[in-house]
Amino acid sequence: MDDPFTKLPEDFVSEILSRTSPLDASRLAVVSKGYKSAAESDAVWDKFLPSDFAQIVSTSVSPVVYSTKKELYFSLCHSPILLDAGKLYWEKVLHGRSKGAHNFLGRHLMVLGMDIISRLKPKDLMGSKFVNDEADSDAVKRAGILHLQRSNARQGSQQQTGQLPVRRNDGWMEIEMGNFYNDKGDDGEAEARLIEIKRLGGKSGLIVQGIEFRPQA
Amino acid sequence: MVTTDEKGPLTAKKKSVIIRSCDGDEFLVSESAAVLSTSLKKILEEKEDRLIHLSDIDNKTLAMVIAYLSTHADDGLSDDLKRSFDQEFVSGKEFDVLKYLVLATDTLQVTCLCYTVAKKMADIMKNKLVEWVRREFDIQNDYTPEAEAEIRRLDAWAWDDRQLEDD
Repeated sequence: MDDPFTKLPEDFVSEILSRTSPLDASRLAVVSKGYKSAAESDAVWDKFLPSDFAQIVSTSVSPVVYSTKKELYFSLCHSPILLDAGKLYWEKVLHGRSKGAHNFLGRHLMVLGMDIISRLKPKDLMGSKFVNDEADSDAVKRAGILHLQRSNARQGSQQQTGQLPVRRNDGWMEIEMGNFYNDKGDDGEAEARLIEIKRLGGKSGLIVQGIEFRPQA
Repeated sequence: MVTTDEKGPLTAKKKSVIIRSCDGDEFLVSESAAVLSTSLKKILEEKEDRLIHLSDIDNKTLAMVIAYLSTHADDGLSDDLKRSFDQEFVSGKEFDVLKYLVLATDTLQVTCLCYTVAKKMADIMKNKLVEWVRREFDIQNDYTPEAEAEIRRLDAWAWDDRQLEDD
């Protein structure tokens, strides 16, 4: 029996590629024209997108335009979008560039360093209060340490100083980043920023739903 | 054609079919196992003949597929047991063996086995060089050198040959 493997239907090649990773699928498009067509199919990229991508796209304030799922994947990777009438800011992560390619383990998320910024005009938030104190130029003073994950009991003593996440009713973990008080009127911007400061290497698996500003009761 | 409904499930269980490989060997298979293959199911619905000849599946591969079908048709086994059987089934199999299994899966249309094998192959293909895939799958590179260079350039982020394996 000759090896008839090249006769494999494109569908099956898609089945295989959809079980690899965005990195592998993109690379293996070079194998042949048939592979390219399989590697770019929606069937493959559907699996790499977050499972709730339809919801993410449908609640986006600005329309997310894409013609293929691969295109959507990369547009979500490259550009942050505002969700839910602007209530949520969904900054997607950088995907692995060649340097960090080996870190590309997660299905769809890869962070090289982490720096998520959210800005709002205070006047967008009726009744909310923000600190806008120009005298305080040292950002570090304003920053709080957040522990995105509870460490085990042995290290417990080290993390008395930081905030810990709590689970919300909808399943997301939420962590309070800080409080702002504004007594300088409606001008200017409030900025919230989530930065990794301890381990600067590549990360994967973190999904940030957004940074939410809420008026305090 | 006598359907399962008319004769009752007990009779259907006892029924069996003979499947002949391209090497000429014959395998006796229960009908409940055979119908897990969409193709075999179709054949059995269309004709009374209890002998099915598969001209492009060899002995070794057919025996494996039948072992798979029989296990999955066994109502006495829990889903957990079937899942661990699936893992055992593909683990340690040579890449060549998997290739023939894929083809048989495609011919016989056994969806769940198709997924199991696809998963295993995907695990093998991860982090492999393009050249490795071409060689192992015996695929002709049908790009011109210019076209190939262009595709590599477009998805440049996916290339870091130092991390890739060639065996």
